[in-house]
Amino acid sequence: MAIAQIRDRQSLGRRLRKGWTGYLFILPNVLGVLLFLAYPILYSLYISLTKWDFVSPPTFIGLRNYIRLFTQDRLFWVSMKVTLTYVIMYVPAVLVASLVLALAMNQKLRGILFVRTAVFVPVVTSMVAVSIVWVWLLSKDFGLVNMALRALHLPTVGFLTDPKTALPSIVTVGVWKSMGYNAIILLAALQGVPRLLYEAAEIDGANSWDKFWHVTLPLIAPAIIFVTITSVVGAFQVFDQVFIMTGGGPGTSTYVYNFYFWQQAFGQLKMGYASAMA
Amino acid sequence: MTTMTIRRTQTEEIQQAQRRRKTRRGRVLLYIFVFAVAFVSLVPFLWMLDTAFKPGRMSMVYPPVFFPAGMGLMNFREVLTQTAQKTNFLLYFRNTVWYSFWVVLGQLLTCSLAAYAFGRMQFPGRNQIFYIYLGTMMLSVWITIVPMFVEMHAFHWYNTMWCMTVPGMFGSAFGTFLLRQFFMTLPTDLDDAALIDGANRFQIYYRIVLPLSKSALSVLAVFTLLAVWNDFIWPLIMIPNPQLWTLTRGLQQFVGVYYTRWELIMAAGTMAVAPILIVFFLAQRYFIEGIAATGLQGR
Repeated sequence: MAIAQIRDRQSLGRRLRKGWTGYLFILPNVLGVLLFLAYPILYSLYISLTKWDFVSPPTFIGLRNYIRLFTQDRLFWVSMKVTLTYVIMYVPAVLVASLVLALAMNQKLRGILFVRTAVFVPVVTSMVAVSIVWVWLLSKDFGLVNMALRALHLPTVGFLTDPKTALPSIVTVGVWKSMGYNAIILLAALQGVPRLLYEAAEIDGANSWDKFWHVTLPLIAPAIIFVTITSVVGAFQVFDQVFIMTGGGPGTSTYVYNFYFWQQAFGQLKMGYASAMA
Repeated sequence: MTTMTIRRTQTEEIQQAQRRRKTRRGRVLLYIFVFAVAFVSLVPFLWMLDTAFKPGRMSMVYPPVFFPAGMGLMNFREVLTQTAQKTNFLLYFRNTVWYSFWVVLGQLLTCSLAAYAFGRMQFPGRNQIFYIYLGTMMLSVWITIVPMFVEMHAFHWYNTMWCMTVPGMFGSAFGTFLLRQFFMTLPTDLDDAALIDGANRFQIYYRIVLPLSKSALSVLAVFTLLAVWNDFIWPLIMIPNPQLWTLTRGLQQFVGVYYTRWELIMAAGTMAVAPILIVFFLAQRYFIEGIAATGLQGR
């Protein structure tokens, strides 16, 4: 508050002169943003109004890309639907899984350090490597999962070859990979809840469910929101595992938006159209 | 009176024993659950290792044999020598390390400078600029990838090591945010004392704040390393030259070429994954603390 008062008493010119080193310090970052973020976005807008294959000069065609995108392009709507389905399947799953895991890890158990390390291994390995291993695991004939099903006398499933199970498989890999990361965030939040509140609730006659619903949840709500937001943002960026595991198929069951985008931009070199998609 | 007390204590004892049994059962279930999750998290990697050490035909049998007679390093040898003409993993490893080094270095420098400015210096528009900067965190790589493709060509960085390093060196919103939050926990008296003694801002940053921030800087280094090491989209699009490939790009290519030789693929995968896992085991604390910290800041 005192700083604000001092600030008001000094003129803008004076403050600029006194604080110019601050601008210097943030210069690299700001430069990076301008060069590699702001300008590209504007440029992308420009490209989206053209028809361009990168080798020959672009031709200006106005809003035709956008019109075509929304009206004539069936794949656009399909990929939108697939991506939204992915997000709707992924976010609740990862939220529930991490929350349950965090709650479990919050109890004093021996060997908890081992568990913590174990769930983190999927997080730090690259999605590419992970996807490859899962393709091998889910293989209809040689995959470990189907071998286990066979051992239990259950029918084998073509996880990645059956359109009905392809997208859920992709979702599962995503959840499996980021579960540990989100669980740690929620665990940190859980550990910030003061024990006194639980004891107070118990005195008032609360059972486990009440304690969870009325004490735990409200107090870790910010962390839950954080996990939800980051998961949603991350889910919309899904690409690696689709690229490696299914290539958009079978059919179009896993044809997520980013994959379609990549095909348009770099597969078919339709730069203008792709920019409109972005 | 005494008989009533004795009976009451007996009933209490029975109730207590019942409660203890219930909690013990609960705890057993908890243990099973937690270790099941750990198991599920690790099984794919264990299976990858298992397949990597077995001769090819042993991976295709049912029921699966986990420790067959022919186990050995032959797959690794084959990947490193015979396939090296098409996919040179040692080269990819070197490239990945090289790119990671520069990006991590650049990020540490620029993010800490900016974080110091945003956190402890005064200049007009400081907060507004910071929040706008923070907002850029939400943007995905896909929004800028097409124009970046063009830009990299324009700078003549396309298909060179420059496009893998320079753009990443200019700082990130996430890194700046992380470090700023940390800097703000340091007492400003240090800065004031140094200012009184005639130090300029850069000296304060360099001699006082940086040495105190080793843990936060380590966290950022680890995060950045992870991001660069595992990045796939950028190398996929920006460097068609196989000599410049990273481990992820090389691995993906390998699968495309040798897609029937799962034992080789798993061996290659193991080699691609091992370095980062080693780093993880050594720097575990930093990873996990950093992640917990980002969550606690809330939004």
